[in-house]
Amino acid sequence: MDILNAHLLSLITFLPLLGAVLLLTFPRHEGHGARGFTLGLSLVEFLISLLVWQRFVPSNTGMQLVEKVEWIPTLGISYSLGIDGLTLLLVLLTTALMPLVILSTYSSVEKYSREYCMAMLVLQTGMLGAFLATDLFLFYLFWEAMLIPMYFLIGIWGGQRRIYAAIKFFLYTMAGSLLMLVAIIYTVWTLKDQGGITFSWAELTERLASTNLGTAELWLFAAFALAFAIKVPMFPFHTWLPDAHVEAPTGGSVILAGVLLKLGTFGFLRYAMWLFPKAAVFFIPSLTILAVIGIIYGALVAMVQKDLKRLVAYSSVSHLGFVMLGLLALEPTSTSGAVLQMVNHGISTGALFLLVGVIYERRHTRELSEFGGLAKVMPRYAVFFIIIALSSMGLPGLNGFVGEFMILLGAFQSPGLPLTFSTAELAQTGVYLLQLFALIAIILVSRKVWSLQNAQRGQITLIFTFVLSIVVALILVGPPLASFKGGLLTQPLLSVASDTEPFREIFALLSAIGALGVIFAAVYLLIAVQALFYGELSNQKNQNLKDLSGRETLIFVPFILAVVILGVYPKPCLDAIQPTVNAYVKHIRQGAGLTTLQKPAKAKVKKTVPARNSTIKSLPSRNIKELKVSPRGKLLRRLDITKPNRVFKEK
Amino acid sequence: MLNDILAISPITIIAIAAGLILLLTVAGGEKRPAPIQSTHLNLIAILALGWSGYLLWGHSTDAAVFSERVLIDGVFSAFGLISILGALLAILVAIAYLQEHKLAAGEFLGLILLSTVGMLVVIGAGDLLNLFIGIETMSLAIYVLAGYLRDSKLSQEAAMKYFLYGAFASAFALFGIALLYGECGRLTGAASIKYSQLSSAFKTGELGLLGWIGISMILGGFGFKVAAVPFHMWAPDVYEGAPTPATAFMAAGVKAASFAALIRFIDSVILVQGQPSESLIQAFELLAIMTMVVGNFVAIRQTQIKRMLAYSSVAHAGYVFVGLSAWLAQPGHEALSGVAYYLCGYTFMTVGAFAVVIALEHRDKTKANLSIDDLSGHGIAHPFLGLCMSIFMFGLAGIPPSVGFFGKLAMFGAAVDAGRIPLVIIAVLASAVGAYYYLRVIVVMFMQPLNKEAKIIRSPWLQSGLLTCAALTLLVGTLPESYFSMLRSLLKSWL
Repeated sequence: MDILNAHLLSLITFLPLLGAVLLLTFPRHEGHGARGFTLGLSLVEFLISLLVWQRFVPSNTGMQLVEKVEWIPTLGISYSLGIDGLTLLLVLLTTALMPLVILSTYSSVEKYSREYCMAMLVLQTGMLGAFLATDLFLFYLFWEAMLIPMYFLIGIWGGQRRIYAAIKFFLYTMAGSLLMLVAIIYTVWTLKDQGGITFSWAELTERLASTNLGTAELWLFAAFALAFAIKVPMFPFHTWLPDAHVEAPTGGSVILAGVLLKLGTFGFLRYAMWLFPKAAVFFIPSLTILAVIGIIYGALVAMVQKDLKRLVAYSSVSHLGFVMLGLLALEPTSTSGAVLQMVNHGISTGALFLLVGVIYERRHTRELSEFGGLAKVMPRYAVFFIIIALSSMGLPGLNGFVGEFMILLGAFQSPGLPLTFSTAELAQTGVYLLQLFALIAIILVSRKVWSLQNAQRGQITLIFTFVLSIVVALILVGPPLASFKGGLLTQPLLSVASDTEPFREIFALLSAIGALGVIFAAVYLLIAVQALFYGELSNQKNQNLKDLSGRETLIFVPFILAVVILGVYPKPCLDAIQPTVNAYVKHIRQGAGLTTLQKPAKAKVKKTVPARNSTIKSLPSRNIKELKVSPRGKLLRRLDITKPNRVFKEK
Repeated sequence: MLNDILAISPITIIAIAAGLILLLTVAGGEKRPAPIQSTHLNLIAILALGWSGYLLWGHSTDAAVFSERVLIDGVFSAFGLISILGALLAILVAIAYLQEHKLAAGEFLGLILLSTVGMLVVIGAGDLLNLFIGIETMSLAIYVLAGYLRDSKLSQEAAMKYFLYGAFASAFALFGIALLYGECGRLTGAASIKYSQLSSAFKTGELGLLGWIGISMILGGFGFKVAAVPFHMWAPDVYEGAPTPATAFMAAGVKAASFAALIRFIDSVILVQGQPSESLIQAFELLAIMTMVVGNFVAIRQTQIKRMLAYSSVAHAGYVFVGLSAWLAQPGHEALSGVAYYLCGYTFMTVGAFAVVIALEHRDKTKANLSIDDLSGHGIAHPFLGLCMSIFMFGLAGIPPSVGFFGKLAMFGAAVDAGRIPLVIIAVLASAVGAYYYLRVIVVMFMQPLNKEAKIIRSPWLQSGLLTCAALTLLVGTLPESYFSMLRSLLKSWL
């Protein structure tokens, strides 16, 4: 038992891999035994992860249940795992989704189901390993190895254009990761003089904190950020996602949306921003703008989709924009909200993909125009779908609301980020880098426009995308010209030496724009609900559709429970998340040379909002309780009052 | 003298085994056709290679024997092991091939062993003459192996092409050797082609123009042997035409041996002059970049699997040159051990990939070469073969956990350490391009329907060869510590 306790994380990571190997002993063409075995194994996995949760001490902000063994000492590589408040819920999400996915394969996977289960189990090992690794080499290993099973899942069990989608998925992700590999190598080898070569996350954190890498840090952050931005995916690196989602089998989509994308957001916080806080602060304005563009763009594109799965896929782009906004605001409330929202999105979108899978299995089409009036023949399905859709659009009382609200609230009051790089050289490099990114963005967007034109999509989308790309480029990095003082990012950078004003207004503005995404989400999800369930049951093929079977109901009940519980009582989850996330925010802010929060300067504020004058840490749970019951008008008024008032200074 | 002879026993064991195999083949009388299968010959070859490899593995004391003309040291043991491993794996996979295509076994085994002897001489050569003799021994055997399919025009073309190009390359290298010999005489008054004397001559004296011309001619000769761009033109045709086991052997062993000799040459002729100039390093970088870019991009367009693997082998020579550039920029054992590790891993993966090709080249369809599309559906129909091929392809693409990934990490790490960051960025981008064509093989094998009858060669020899390659690719990739630290200590003591 002691051995088990000491190696709980190894067990949870490698049990699926062991299961995949054992699956080889099952007969090849008979799927039920393999499925049953995998289902059992994934349930055991889930139980072990509950055990991990039980062992987890929320108040401890460091790594817990740590395991560390020397692995390749010559290069300072160790096998080390650890869990903290950031990863705990993500690990639980991974282990919880897996049995449900396996349960869905009983009807959705017809051929090679044993191999399907094997790929799923290997994928699970990869994902858990990437979350739990506390050594950069180990992390990268899991991060890359994870691509292999997903590649097979899309490529073998996918739809019509599965090969294209699989290769696109693989190459996009790999190209980003390889630059991250160079960054890892650079970091590790540059810091090896400080007491030997090491890939250890904790050790590198310490070394980086006491080392000034100069402009190199910007490049390193950019390389990490690119890898994660592709994975998230952030606009404009999202183009692989709709293809991969639409072509992937149901289970693959669920895992892709539910967990894989979270690795990107997780990586931003754990690696990119944590290791290179100075550079992070430098890039945060532009990344935040990209995140908000992602929110709006994803939502708008989702609105015009005719294919239900594509709609859900684009909604992911939008929702993950929210998560990124929350992370980047670097404010305890919003960042905790972002972490919670990762879990919420995993649940809601995972369930949505499973629901899409259900009607796809029955009708072999996902075109919205093929459906209508399904509520009459599939009442239970309709109820589940609507609950999940409501949770996804952030209805108060369901899970999506909590996360999104915390993100917006936090981002709105984010203390902002003064520019810490103050020499002209750094500013120049920054401008150069940003313009490079903008160029890439424009190229990607124009390619997208081109393909839209070919596909004869709506003119509005076409014009919108085109105008957007130009506007974005100008807003971001337009060079100063005549009366135009330069883009949002070039302008402050060029006059950087004296400018230490926080980007506070930008955050307030951006979160206000981002809030539009919530409304858009309601629009596209309600469009989908309407097209599926209401109206006349006109299509003959839909007359005899069967409602959810017992097995299918069994899949969705846990989702509904999770959605409601997390919406009504998110406290246990927040308790696990918050201390760690606060520590992350504090570390990043300190590393970047930003001050911690001060008390409000104006007494007036004190009177208006008495609750506000304490530290931000105490905010979230209380506010959520209050706001859950408030009507919308009151909510907005409240937001207005809570305009940022705290003053920030450099140390 | 006796000590000298004992010291080179890893070489002589293989030479004796080669002679024995050829004698036993002849002793069978004038049986026609010559025996295509003979277990005892296989065993002799495998045992000899195993014994020699064991001796190299247990290498402890460095020795410079035959008045410093043969160097039995860290480089010899590190790289010799790779060549021997390449030969061993090539023989394992060749047996089934010879049976299937009704080719004489004795000569084939003998030639592979003789070529291995040549490789070991190349790696251990302490003077330029021994180097030349080694290269010729190694190459002559391979010219014959390339043309081993006597009734295939492609094979004949391959042999001819390889021979002609090879002859030119050898002639150039030989002329370069002559120039260095003269240069040494000019500087010291006593002309010599021994590395020890060349080193001492170049350490003190300023190398003249003719000396540099000589060096670049010899480097060109090496460039030909490792198929670096722009000396790679022969590779695709030869790889395609030669019998597949010979191709596997050629891709793995020749590369390892030539790189080892190149390292020794650079060390004793260039590095002794002090830290190499920036322009020299840049020249190596340029070679690396050209080789990676050309290899990877041209490989994308290939339809024949052997040609694709040929260009992939060109690309991998480019990655090794990244390691060599790092070594030039910052001489030390870090970069070199990365290079040795990478070449070893490359041997597993590439021999494995060719072994899969062998398994698919069954007799009734051969002669016309195997295209990538012929693999369609085979991954599903033959899971073992598919699994192995996936391991090799992902490994060659540098995806962890495989020997290809760790090798790249070790080499690129050394290059970053030496401050060659742009080079490393180009290298990783090139390997991203490379991933595309490796993935295509997997796409075809697993994601496309089986369009013909999936007939493959089944043989315990081939299966064990495949299994060995796949297992080593994964094992050495995930647990590299013992092998990697052995290489480091070997090369550390050498430098």
